[in-house]
Amino acid sequence: MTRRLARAIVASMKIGWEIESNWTNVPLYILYEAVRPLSLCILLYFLYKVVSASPGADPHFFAIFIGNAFFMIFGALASGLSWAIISDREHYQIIRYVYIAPAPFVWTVIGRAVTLLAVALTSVLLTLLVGRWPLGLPISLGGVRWGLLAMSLPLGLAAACGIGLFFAGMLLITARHSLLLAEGVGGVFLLLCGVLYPTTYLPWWLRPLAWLNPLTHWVEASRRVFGVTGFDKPLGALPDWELLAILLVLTVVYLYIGWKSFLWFEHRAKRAGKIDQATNY
Amino acid sequence: MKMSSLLLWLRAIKARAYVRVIGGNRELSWVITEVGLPVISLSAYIFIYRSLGAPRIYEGLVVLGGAMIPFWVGVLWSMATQFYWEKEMGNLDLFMASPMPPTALLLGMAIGGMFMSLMRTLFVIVVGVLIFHVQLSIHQPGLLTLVFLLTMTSLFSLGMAASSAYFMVGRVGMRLNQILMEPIYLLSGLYFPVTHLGRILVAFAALIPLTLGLDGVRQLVLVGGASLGFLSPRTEALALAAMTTVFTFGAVRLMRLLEQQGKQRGTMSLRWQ
Amino acid sequence: MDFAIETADLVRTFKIKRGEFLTAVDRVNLQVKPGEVFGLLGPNGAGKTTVIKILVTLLYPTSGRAFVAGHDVVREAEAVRPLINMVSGGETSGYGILNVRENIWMFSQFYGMPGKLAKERIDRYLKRFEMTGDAATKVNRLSTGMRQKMNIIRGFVTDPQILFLDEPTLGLDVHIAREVRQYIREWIAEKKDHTILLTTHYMAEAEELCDRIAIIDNGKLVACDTPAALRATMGEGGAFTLTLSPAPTDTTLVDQIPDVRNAYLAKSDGRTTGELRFTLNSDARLPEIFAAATQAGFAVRGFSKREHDLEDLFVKIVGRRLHEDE
Ligand SMILES: Nc1ncnc2c1ncn2[C@@H]1O[C@H](COP(=O)(O)OP(=O)(O)OP(=O)(O)O)[C@@H](O)[C@H]1O
Ligand SMILES: [Mg+2]
Repeated sequence: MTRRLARAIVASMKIGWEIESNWTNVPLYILYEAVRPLSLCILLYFLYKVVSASPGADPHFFAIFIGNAFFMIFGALASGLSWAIISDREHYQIIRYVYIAPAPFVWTVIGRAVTLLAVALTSVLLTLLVGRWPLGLPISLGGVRWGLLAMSLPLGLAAACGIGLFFAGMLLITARHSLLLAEGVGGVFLLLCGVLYPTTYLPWWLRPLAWLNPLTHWVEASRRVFGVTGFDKPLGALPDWELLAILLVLTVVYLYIGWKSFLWFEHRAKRAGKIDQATNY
Repeated sequence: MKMSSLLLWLRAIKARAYVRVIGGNRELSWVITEVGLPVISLSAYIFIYRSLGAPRIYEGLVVLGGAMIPFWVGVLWSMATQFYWEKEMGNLDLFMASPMPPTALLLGMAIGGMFMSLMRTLFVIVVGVLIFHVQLSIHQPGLLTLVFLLTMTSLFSLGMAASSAYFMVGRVGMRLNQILMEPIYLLSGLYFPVTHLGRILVAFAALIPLTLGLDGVRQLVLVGGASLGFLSPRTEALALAAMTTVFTFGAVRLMRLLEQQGKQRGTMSLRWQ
Repeated sequence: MDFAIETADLVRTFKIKRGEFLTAVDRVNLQVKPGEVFGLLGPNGAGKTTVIKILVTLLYPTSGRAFVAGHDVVREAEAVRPLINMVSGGETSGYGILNVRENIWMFSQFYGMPGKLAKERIDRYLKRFEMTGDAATKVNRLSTGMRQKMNIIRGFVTDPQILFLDEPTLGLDVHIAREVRQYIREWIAEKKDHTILLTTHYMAEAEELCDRIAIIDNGKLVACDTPAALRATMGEGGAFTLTLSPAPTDTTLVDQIPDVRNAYLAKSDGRTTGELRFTLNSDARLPEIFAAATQAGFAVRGFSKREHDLEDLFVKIVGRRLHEDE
């Protein structure tokens, strides 16, 4: 059983990679994946010029930049997974065949997610490079806290997968234009997770949502990896181990919820006969 | 003869617009997507400006940027990719074999989509005024209307030209669309005054109709907006009119080329390319 | 006389790889008269759909010319389009989110039909094809057959002068397919000068509907005539089945007799009896065969004859069977 499952996951990763990348060669594909996060980072740079003539020298901008660079992984995953669902259903109309293949559908989706994450990680690297060079941010290999990175990154990716699964599931029962919904999910979480501004700038009733979100803690941990502290007052006050512990607990909870809700949506879709129902208009 | 072909054109536009509007309304999730999400991502930018202690006018700038996004999204996602989607769905050969001119298809889609985009825009502006207390004042309603309308025509004609171009490159077009979202948000100055880009970049950005349209609308609507503008709204209106002409011309040429190429190579109805 | 459809040395090649070309349509000459139902038969990949695509202005010919209602399909495509419509088997046209009525209405608008007229006709056709109850069903909920019925209505609704039907009954059950054929006959009888070009893989359908039939193979037109005339070219004779006891183990018995073709063993219970099948162009050889059987020690337990039909002709011309077990 586990061997079959493993084979199914590997196979779906391979298929996912091929479908995503077969229109061009690999370097171009990776560059392509990096354009969106990069331009968002550059957008922030120009936006920051409103208050500072040289954002590159401003520690506050550095904090925003790092947070955003890591957060982009989630954005890529959310939009990539939705694309996978929508294009399988509406474009190739192969979702029913993917669906009836022996591998559990949820694992096929996870396989696609893993591919997307791998590509997103390379665009983070590219973004950091651009931050170092034209923008002049103080990024250096020696300054990175590798231990913290090794612990926080896998947790962050897992949390992103959990949330991604939830939205992929939701797409199973909604129409094609929910593609834009998926594109927008990144925006919602960007708003909530204290990436671009400290969570204290949110209205009081939104703050609990931010603090109960693993991505918020992951972004804070990522900032600390690059030596940025004190960006967010309440989160910044937590010691490293406490931050990681909270991140771990929330990640487990979110993964569980994502997994369960995906199965639930799948069930609903099947009952309503929506799995392979194209909704073009 | 002429009269009946005009009638055909109008009927076809109406039918396609109907599909777009009905299609949108039948799946109610559009309320969230079309209305909720833009407000959310726009709030994010407003909170950034607040956290940086920037002057209030920048919040108005963001609201107007967010209000214009739906039109741009409509051009990229509904118009530019349309021929491609129709082909993938198996509609294109029937459409092409019918007497309807292809422009009717694209305009119908655009006009149907415009209805929804307008809803979004109005909602965003209402939210901006009520929740974020953005101050608006309209001194030159005539010029504002003109700039807005010219922005729409230039966007639509660009969308038409793009739809043929995208069709020819196949799946790469969809990728191009995805990839172009953020860079265009960046270049068109959706969330900051476009003059921040510096002389060279701003000249480049001015080739996108959204940039000039947004800049013009901001100057004519925001209290103190003129101080952040790039060119005078009159000049911008003129430039937009010129763009409309060029894009329309290009769109018609491209469409003809597309049809010829399709018939020569037999790619009009090949799917899954 | 003006033909409804006319092609002159029509050729269409496709580039498959660099320097490699495939001739899908090879110097085809067709002349279809107004009021005719004209059938295009041929094996898979013969070039039928390609011919139709050229005629409905979706594809340029590589060389040669084609005229629909007297208009050149290349130079006067705009004049051709209002006069025609097309329905293909298994097509997935329209928008899943619309219902049946809206979908047909939308296509009618692309032909510029006035709203009221469109509504009336759609209602009439929905009724005719027993789809009134499904008029408000969204297209993405339809079964394959219902969907095809909708496509067929879509084709008729604009009242085209020339209608192209590419395997119109593909995927339809026996009852609905019969319904569709029935309507095609009514339509053509009522309209007089309207024309239908039809492709199908069902020989019975071609025989029932078509005034004339063209057989196309490898892009080339190999035969073109009325079904009766085509059948007559096969001569008398037919396909024979001989039930013998004990069961024969090979076909040598009939192989030695001149004029016997396609002999093979069928249905044998292995011990007591077995069937021997073959085709023969003339009944005159039958006594010879009976004599040979008796001489070889077989008892003839049964005998049957089936007249040549279109399918036999098709097999003879194309050299391949379409449906292996008929
Ligand atoms: N756009 C194209 N590009 C390349 N080859 C093509 C194209 N369209 C058709 N062909 C080839 O031309 C030949 C004729 O195809 P066509 O579709 O006309 O056959 P058909 O007679 O309709 O067959 P079927 O009975 O299976 O529908 C086939 O070999 C096909 O592969
Ligand atoms: Mg065919």
